[in-house]
Amino acid sequence: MDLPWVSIGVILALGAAFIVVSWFISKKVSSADSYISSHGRLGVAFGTTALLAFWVTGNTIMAAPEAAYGMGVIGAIAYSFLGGVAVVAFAPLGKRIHQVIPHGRTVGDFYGNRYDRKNYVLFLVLVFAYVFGLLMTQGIGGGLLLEQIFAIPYELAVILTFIIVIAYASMGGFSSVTGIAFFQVILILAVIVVVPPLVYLQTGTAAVYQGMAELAPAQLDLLLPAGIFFMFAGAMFAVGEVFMDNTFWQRAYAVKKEKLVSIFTLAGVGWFVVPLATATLAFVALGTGQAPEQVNQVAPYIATVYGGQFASWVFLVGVWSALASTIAAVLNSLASLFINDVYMPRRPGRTDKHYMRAAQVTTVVIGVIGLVMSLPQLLTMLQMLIFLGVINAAFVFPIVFGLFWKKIGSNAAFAATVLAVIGGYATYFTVGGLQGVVVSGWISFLVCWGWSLARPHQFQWSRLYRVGLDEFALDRSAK
Amino acid sequence: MIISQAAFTFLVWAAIASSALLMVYILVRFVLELRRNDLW
Repeated sequence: MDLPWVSIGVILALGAAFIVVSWFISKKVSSADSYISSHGRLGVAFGTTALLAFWVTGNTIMAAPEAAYGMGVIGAIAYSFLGGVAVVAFAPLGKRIHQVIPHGRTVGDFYGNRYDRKNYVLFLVLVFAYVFGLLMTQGIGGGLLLEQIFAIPYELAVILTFIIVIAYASMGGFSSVTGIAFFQVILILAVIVVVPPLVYLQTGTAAVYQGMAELAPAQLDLLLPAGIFFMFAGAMFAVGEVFMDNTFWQRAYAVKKEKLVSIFTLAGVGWFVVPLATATLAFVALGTGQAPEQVNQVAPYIATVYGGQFASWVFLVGVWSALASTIAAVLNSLASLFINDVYMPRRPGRTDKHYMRAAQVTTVVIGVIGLVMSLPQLLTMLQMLIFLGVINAAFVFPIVFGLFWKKIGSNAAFAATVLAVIGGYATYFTVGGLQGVVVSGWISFLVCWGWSLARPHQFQWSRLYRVGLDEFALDRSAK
Repeated sequence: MIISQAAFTFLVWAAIASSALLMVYILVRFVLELRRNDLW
């Protein structure tokens, strides 16, 4: 078999660097708490890059140019808007999380103590399904990406990526994932700062614009209906994903409280400009009439046309860094959720070393399951993300109202979630995927709001404030 | 509503320049927080 050894070598070299750095970081990780979180310690640099590293995936770098190629300028803006607005929207939520449940560690800590047991069980089942689905989308999407664009065989790409990520994520947990995320984000940004200018300095923006006006005028239309719908339906889906995802809750707890709003806002701005900058490469394809066989290859294709093989390898560095950082964050998030919300309540009173070892084993087991499930390519990434979006949207309002409004009770939250999931999937299968996400969000909102006004609850915020204190942890384990 | 050439040019270079600024800002914050022993 004729393997692309240089591309494989780039991945191995980067992977080896990540593992070595992780080994150094892991020497400072001595407790289960620091393996799961970094309570209020991350500054602006690590806080922002920890958020960007998770949210900017390898697929993001490729999908934004694809959206721009199909929907033009508004497609690029829409793709950037939907992710950016979701991260910025989490900022006030994160601030509130620090106020009402300051000693928590995961989204499960909030949900399990704000609502009753039936809500907690339903939430845990669906959040595990969602995060596992997300892990698979990253594995499958990443494998396909490396196969289609850099000619690395799919199975080899998936196995290499997962083994490297499992190795470095399991060593130091959250600290390793966060520390390495800093370098990964700098690599991603460096690629974006180098490649698009390299291309535009050769083509010129005026020539690209005039070429688009001649060859693809619809792609210059800022009111293209498909782009506008994508922008707003996509934002609902992205907000749902961010609010429910334990990865964001972990980071909300990990950053310094007083820096939280600026960190989330900066990460949101970053998420807006990174996909937009890569999407500009699609404009060159449209304006010059050059297109690859598959549209998701448009960005590296244009980079290679104008920057040669070197630009292609530079792009590989950015794409693989983005891919690895997201898989690592998801692995750590899932392992933390399992240890904090499932294992610790059922095995109370063990030593800190025991919990840390359990977290490391869980990371490896989840990583291996993710690897095995990604190999057969059971689904496409976008289908899976929209399918899971119905679940995300159903939980948005029980989480938002639950954090800010004491009138919402367990029955309202449960009814809202169940009805939203049923209504959302009914719409998903009869009308369309994105419509299902929007319907799920609306049902969740209306039931939470209407039920709470009709039968108001009086929640005691002090219950949440006590979460994370030792005696309360025992109380919850007995619940 | 067709985007004008000036707005298109601005959009392209603003996205690239903003990414560069973000990278520089994060690096500067990294150095400052490292010197204050305040990274994490």
